[in-house]
Parts: sequence; structure tokens; C-alpha cells
Amino acid sequence: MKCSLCGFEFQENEGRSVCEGCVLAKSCSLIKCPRCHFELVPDSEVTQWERKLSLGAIIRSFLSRRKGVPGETPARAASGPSEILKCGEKVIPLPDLQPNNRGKIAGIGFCDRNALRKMMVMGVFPGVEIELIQRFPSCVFRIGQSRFTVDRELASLIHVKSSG
Amino acid sequence: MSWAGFKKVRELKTGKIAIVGAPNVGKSVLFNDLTGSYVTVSNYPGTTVEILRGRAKIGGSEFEVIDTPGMYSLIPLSEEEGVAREILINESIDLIVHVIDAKNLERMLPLTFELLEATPGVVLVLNMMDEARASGVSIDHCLLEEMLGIPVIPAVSISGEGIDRLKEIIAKRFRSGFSPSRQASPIVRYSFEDDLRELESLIPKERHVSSRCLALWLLKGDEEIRARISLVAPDAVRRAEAIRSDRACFRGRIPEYEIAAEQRTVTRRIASQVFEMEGEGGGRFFHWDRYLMKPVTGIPILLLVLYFGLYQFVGRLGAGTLVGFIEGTVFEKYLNPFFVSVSARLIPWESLRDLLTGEYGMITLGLRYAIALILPIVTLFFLVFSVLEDSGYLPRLAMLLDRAFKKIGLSGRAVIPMVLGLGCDTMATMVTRTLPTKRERVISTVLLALAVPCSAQLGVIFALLSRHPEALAVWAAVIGGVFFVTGFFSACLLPGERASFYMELPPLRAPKLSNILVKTFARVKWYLEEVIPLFLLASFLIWIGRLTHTFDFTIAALEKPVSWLGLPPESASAFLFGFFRRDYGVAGLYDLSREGILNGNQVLIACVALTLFLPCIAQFLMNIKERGWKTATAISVFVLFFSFGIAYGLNWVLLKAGVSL
Repeated sequence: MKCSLCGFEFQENEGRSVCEGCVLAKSCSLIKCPRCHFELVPDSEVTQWERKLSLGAIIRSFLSRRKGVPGETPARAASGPSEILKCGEKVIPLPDLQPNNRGKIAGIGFCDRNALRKMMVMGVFPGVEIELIQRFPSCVFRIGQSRFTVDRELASLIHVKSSG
Repeated sequence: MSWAGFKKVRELKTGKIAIVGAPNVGKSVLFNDLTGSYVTVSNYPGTTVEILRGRAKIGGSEFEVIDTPGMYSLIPLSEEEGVAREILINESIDLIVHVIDAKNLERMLPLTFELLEATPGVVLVLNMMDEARASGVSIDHCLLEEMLGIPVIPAVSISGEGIDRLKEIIAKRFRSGFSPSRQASPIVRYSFEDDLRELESLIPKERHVSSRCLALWLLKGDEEIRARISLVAPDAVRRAEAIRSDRACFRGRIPEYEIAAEQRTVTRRIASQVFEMEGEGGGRFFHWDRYLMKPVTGIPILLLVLYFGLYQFVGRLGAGTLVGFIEGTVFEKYLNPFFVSVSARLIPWESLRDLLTGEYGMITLGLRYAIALILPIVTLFFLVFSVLEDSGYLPRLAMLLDRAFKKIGLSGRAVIPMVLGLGCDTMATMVTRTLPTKRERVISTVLLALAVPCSAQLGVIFALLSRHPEALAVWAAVIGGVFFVTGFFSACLLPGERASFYMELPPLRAPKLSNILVKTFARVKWYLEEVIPLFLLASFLIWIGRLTHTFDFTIAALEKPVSWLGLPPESASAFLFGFFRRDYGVAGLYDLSREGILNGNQVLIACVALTLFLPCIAQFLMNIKERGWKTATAISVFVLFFSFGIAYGLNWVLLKAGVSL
């Protein structure tokens, strides 16, 4: 994967190794850039599916099949090794939550000021309970008594602690 | 000034009250309750763009009441929110009435904190208590009052509940000279309280806004406030920057978000004590909601709404039955002959008679088009739109269509002006203001000017083409295609970042008949005021043109390009009318088609050309007002050539394919 801050390209496990020694590392799905230590969010599973199904990816995989080279498979999201399940909780982007499931907001990903303000307007703050209602065509979620709809990009910035 | 003079000034002084709150919480209704005048009440965020001022007589004294645009936070996200804050900073507001949606207490209370940080003169109105009660919410407002140290009033602004108590409090506050009931100690104590105190001491006292509030705004990194304070206290600005970068770099925190998060923690604590809820909530129609939001059922429902609301109700009933009656019976049989005979008897000069009741006369053509053709169609459309708006269907539509709209550089939010554009493009261009980025505003203005037919056009087109269903299908496909292709290319060409979409989904509500009627009436009134003068002006200009023979000359000049489209020379006059208003042009077409001059193909070509044709004068003026004259002129020139180009292309295709409809 590629760091969105410094542009350094690295393997996911290289990033994981930076987190050794951090107490939270087990239940945290964020990946640190080995060069600048910027915290990256792994792609949500849905985004990955989308990328696989996008026209470009289909053409690329078609071409590579004809050449007899295995197609480029997108990096898998760090849904986490099995020890994460041991403590019962994991941090995932909101679109990866199953519809009609609840979670607690863990934090929000790196984003610009405007996106941050939108989060504040909607009441997306750490510790707040959030329920995903639907994720297609746009994500719909509930916080307290209000329901909001956001696009996939904004939704994947919301990191949710979900149990199981 | 002498003491006597001073006293006199005090006696004359009236209070100034500002109504503040998030969009869609009933501020406008409360404003009307207080002042007694009517303004449009709306269900989707952001309609109250203009600031409304009114006078209210409370307890024998007069007050100025200001209705501010909806805002979520005192740090503005949009232009409108900026306006709301400007009012609070610049005008000497004596009392702020903060209106919140009672069942969303937890989400809306942070703005109360922000307001209280700015000034102690705040009253909290818990509005829409009826909805809150219906969804099982109960609020201990006495305890809340105690915790916040300000008056808290449960209210239902639509039925007037709680208004008397608000008036009572305003009168009481006025008698005490608007001195705060107690010196409020800050409700939220932040984790960086020491830094905040230090910064506060560096900022000189302001009249309307407390230093603590200014310090907080500085810490949040508000550009406008920074520019202002750097003039009077550059030290404070430097210190604030130091604190900000210290927190951002060394502790990885963004002060703005941190402040909001800490406010939220306090809100949660307060809400847990005063707020109780039974059941799930979500309104009476909660179960229906799922079907509206799932694409599998939502899109068929959308098509049904379009078919019944637009085609059957506006197109068949409005443009067919109603227009047929008013136009065919009322005007043709009674009014026109009456006016013609009256003017023949009273007016001796033929040219003046021509101006009023001639072929293109102000009464026989201008008024007839406005009242018999356009008015019934527009009224029915606005009726449908008000129902959709009040039921809360539009945000759901925005959610469904967001993905498709992303492809043309817009977000789901633009669905609302586009749907309104099907009623009146001029009004819709005004509403594009609510879109967050300039890029989205320009794209939607182009699309409104080009490919979104207004209801008057739509109605007449439905009436014209209903006899040829294939032609109607071709027309819809061409216009839809132009809409998406133009949107796609303008999204590619225009610079700027991708639109991002977020929107609140209000609960579905059963629309109230009185509200719908009042809204429809207000919109139709706005429309007629806009339209009738233009129609009369058009008749007048044509009259002058006929007197000076420029009219015949222009028609002769237009006959050439019109013949390229394969249309008979008579239709040139419809295009000339189209320069005044697009619907005026289509209305001219309606007359031609009734006389049997046009065949199926020609009706289709003319409809496509006139749908895409130049925006009407009112919309052009609105484009200039909203986008500046350069963009507006560029849009018009593009639209003029593009519409003819598409019509020419379509005609060529039809000829080559040998299709005759």
C-alpha cells in the first residue's frame, strides 16, 4: 500500500511491525507508514469489491489472463488476524459493518477540514453509538434520534469499534 | 449627553431578538408566530436563504425580530451560516432565541453552549414537542433550565404551544433591560482551560461577543475571526497559532474537533439526566421508510411518483383537462370575444386596439398564455412539489440518486434544485445556492438552463406529444441523454474537487394540508409576479416590432435556421416567443399544432429544440445574479447553439432512418 501523506510504498506487514510495543495494536486496524508513521486506514471490504468490479480492473485482469500472468489482486483489508477476535472487538470502517448492526465510533480517518466539519455536524465523535441501516446506494446510519445519509467516501472515514 | 437625554434614548430603545437554530427545526414558523406575517415554511435544510426581519408587539413594547438562516455551528460551514454569525456579531442583539428539535436534544445542545459562550442572553426553545412525544420522548425541562441557567421553553410552533410563555419571558427580560438572569459560569470546561484563559486575557473586550468565545474561535482556526483580531490583538493570534500547532503536531489533535468532542461529552451527560425515550422512535411511517430507501423498491416508487405526480396529475389533468377548459371554453368562448368587442367599441385607434386585443395582444395573447396555459400547470406542479417536500421524500430521493449524480459532478444534494427545476428553472437556479461548492453550483446552473424543462413547458409538451407516445419516448430519451452527457462533460472540464454528499434524513411526515396550500400559494404568487409582467412585455415588444416592421424582419431571419430543422416557416414565431420565455415558445407551438400545421416529426423536433432552448429572461437575469454576467452569457450562447445542433442532428437521424411519427 501507499502512504497518503509521504507517498512511501510498503507491504502491510511492514506497517504492522511499526506498531509493535503499542498496547492497542491488537485491536487496532490502522496501519502506520514505516517512513513517516502516519496512520493509514485500510480500504473497506466494500471499496475493495468495487475496485475489483470496476471497468479498469476487469480490463486489467482480462489482459493479464491473456498474457498468462496472474492478475493483480488488491491488498486485503486488515480485518485482522485471529487474536483480535480474542478481545472481542475490532476497528473497521463503517461500510464494513453489517446493516442493522451497531457499533461505537472509534475515531475518524485523516480527512480535510470540510469533511471534518461534516462529521461534527452529524455528531460523529469517538464513543458515540452508531447504527448502520443500509449501505447501498448510499450509506444510511443512525446516531441518537437522527438518521443521515453519506456517500461511500465519507462513510469509510468513520471507524467503528464493533464486537464480533 | 445629559441624563434626561440619556433616559429618553433608553425609553425609545426597542429590543432586538434573533431566532437561531439548525435548518428544519421550525424557526420560520416561530418567526411568524411572533411577528404575524407569513414566510415560506420548508422541510429541507436551507430554504430560508434571505434574512427575514419583522416587528413584534410583546407586552406593550415593540421588538425587531430577525429570522436567521439555519446553522449547525457558530463556525460557518456555508455562506448562509456565515451570514447568521455575522448578524450575531455585528448587530446588537439583545436576546437570542435558540430553537431546537426536541427529540434531537443531544445533537443540538452544543450550539446552545456555543451561543452561551458568546453571550448570556439566550433562551432555549424545545420545538416540535408533539413529534417528540409521539416518538416516546420526555424531557425534564425544569432540570435542564437549572443545569443551563437559562429559560427553557417546550413548544410546538405549528400549533402555537409555548409561544405565550416565550413572549412572557421576552417581556420580562425587556423590563429588566436584558440583563442576564445570572452571571453564567461556563458550562463546558475544556481540557485546555489554562491555555484558553491565557488567550482570553490577551483579547480586548468586545461589545457583543465575549472574549472566551473569541478565544475559542481563534483556537478552532477560524480565518475570518483571525483576520479581525489580528488588527487589534496580534499577540493573541500568535499565541493561538502556537497552541494550535503544539496540539496538532505533538499530541495529534485537531482543536476544532477536540472542542466539539468535549462539548458533546457534556451534552451526553446532560441529556442522560433530562432526556428519556421509550421505544425505537423514527416516526409513524418508520416501516414504509425502508421501501423508499432500498433501490429495489425505491426506484419503482420513484417512477410511480413521476408517472402519477408529473405525467398524470400535471400533464394530463393540468395541461390536458384544465387548460382545455380554461383556454377552450373560458377564454375562446367568453373572455376573448368580450374583450375584442369592448375594445372595438371603446378604442377608436386601430394600433392601440391591436396592442390590447390583436393577434399578439396583451390580453388576447399575453394574459391568455399566462392564465389559461401556464397558471394551471404550474399550480398543480407546485402542489405536488409541496407534498413531496413536506413528506420528507426529497432527501430520500437525494440518497437514491447520489451515485448517478456523482457521475455528472454533482452530489445527491443537487437533486432538490433539479426536481424544483421541473417546476420553475428560475426558482431552482436561486436554490442552487444551497449547494456546497462553486463547481456544483455552476454545473447545476448549466443543466437547469439547458436540459431541465420547467413545468409549463413540460405540461404543454405532454399535451402536444400525448397523441404520439413514441415521440414522447424519443423526446424523453434525447433530453435525458443530453442531461447526462452535458453533465458528464462539464464535470470533466470544470476544475475543482469531487462533490461529497451528506444529508440528514428527517422522519417521514404526513404533510399538513394547510401548510401545503399556503406554500403552493406563496410559490404561485411568486411565479405570477415574475411571469405576467414578462408576458405583457413580450406582447408589447412584439407590438412595437410590428409597428416598425422589425417583427416581420426577425421572423423572416429566423425562418432560415428553422427550415434547417425541417420545420415550416410558421414555427419561426414560436422560436421568437421562446426568446422571452421557453414556455411561451412551447405555448406558441401548441397553437400551431392545434391548427394542424405541424406533423408528428416536426412537433417532436420543435419540442426538443424548444426544451433545450435559451433560458427565459427571468432565468437569465437570475443566472447573472447568482453566477455573474460572464458565466451567464457563456451559458446562454452555449445553450443557443447546442439546442439547435441537437435538434438538427435529431432531424437528420429521423430523415435518414425514414421514421415518421
